[in-house]
Amino acid sequence: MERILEIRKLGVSLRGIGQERIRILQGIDISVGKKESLSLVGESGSGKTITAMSVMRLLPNNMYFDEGEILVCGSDITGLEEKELRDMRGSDVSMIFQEPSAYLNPVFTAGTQVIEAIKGCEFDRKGRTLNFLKEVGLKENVFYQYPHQLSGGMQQRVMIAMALINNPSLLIADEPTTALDVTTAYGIIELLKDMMEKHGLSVIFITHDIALAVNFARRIAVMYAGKIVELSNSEAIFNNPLHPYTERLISCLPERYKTGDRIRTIEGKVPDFRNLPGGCAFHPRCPYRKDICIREKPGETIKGDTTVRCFRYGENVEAE
Amino acid sequence: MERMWKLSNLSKRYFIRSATGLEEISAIDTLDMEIFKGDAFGVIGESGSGKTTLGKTIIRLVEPTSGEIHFWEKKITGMKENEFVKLRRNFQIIFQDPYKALNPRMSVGSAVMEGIGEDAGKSQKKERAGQLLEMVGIAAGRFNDFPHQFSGGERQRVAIARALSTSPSFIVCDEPTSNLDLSIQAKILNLFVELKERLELTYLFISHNIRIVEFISNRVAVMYGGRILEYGDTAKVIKNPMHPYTRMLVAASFFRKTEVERIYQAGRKGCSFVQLCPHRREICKEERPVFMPVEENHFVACFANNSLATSKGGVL
Repeated sequence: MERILEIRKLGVSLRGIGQERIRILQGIDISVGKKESLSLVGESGSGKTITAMSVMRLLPNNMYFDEGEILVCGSDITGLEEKELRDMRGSDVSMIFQEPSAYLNPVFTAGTQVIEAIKGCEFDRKGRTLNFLKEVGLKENVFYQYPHQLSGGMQQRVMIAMALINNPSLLIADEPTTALDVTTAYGIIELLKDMMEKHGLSVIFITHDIALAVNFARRIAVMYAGKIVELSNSEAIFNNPLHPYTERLISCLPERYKTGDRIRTIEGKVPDFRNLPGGCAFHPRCPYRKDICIREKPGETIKGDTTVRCFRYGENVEAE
Repeated sequence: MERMWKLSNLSKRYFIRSATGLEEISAIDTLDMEIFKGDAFGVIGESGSGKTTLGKTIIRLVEPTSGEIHFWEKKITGMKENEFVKLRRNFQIIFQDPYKALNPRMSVGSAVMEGIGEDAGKSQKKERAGQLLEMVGIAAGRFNDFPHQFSGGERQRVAIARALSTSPSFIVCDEPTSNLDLSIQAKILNLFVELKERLELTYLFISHNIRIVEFISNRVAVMYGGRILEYGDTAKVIKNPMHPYTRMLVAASFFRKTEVERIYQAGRKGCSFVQLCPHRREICKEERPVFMPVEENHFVACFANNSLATSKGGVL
């Protein structure tokens, strides 16, 4: 199958104040095929957004790649110059964000902003924009409206129109529905699925709601402290989670409990990247921790369709 | 069960300026409701359905346009301000965004101390505030820290401690977890359940997420266009939704296909959901349906479900 995105052993580090190196992402291995959807799941501070920003090459100035490569449609983008990146963004990879109102310019109409996103020369930009607005489920008059006249769901649809008008092969959606009502969110999810079908789009969907991820994506990568701790197809993850972190994330869903019960939560907090715990980064919060978890970092173990980093499924130690 | 709140014919109308002059918006439209002691009464609906206005009106943060509110047997609408002030300690509200609800220039300890009764001395207040922070899971050592030193979940805990400082019996929770991660949301929900049992609180829990309301509340009302369309025991309403709108909300919350898409305006005449409803008939445009029992403790206001229901007959 055609690989749209392939991330191999990606590592990203942060240059600290005293020039020290703080490792953010370590050994990220992801691949997304054509028309495929992959969801990145994890708490805030687990590295989901940084992974997405790496693919867009939008990392902040004090972060840099220290190993690995990112192949977009077969070519490595980690070394591209700003000018080449401009060609890539929008036409190969696009991104939408959690808060559309923060990314739309309040002084231009929605139509102007979508037209602005069109790349290259084209005779009938307005016609194309109007058609595309219809395709994302907006009425024609939205073209002439300003962002403040649109609801959150409509703004997100304008963002989607801007992201997809150049027909990219990959869309990164960073919590696109978190700020929306359930019914509006449902509409956006359906729209994205629709776009995947129609345009052969691949989607990386970032969310902290594992139930939503399972519903949207065929495969799920669970991230914790800058590593992928479990990668599998969504049914396997939801019905039979292997990693203790995944298990606990699922047990945090309130709909799995009766009224008056207590939700089984995850003890403690997401660790700070500046001082990650030694051994397995999850060990201080893990109910199944063993001695080896404190000493060694677990490597990847393959169990059926699932790749998991946990000593419960094998004594694989990560190579330094 | 003792009835704590009784709202009858409650309305709140806002006037907004538009191109054609003043436009009237009904945020709450002749609404009747009862809340019993010990309830965690859930209100679900989308943005613009009037659920936040309801939460604010019930504790008179917003004055209702018409209608009556009874707290226990006391009528609090039209009550003189100096009389109402004494009652007000009984009600509290927790907002969605803890970043905006706390004063950034006030340490969390003094923010919590503010609400503790006048008769307590300073050291007593300090001790009590420490206890409250401890109760919501904030270490007493962080008494002098400022809001920016806390994470989102911790700030919401501080907001809860501050709400508890007046020893309220009734708390309006206005989407208190929708800004939080799922794992932190789970902890805050646990805290709400715990506090309710420990302090015998009554909640009005406002949310757009059925998955949360299903967990936290024993009774639920579905709001649309300022009116309640369906109410009853949470389990019954969610397992057996009768109103087309409730069905749509439940379906969307559990990622199932829905019959209709949303719009914003609700009609004043007839059923508020009439413009979107796939089952609408002539009568829905003309008359407002009244509540009819579906089963025990489960009521719906919809003509499609009960052909006998008219605005003249039927029981509430």
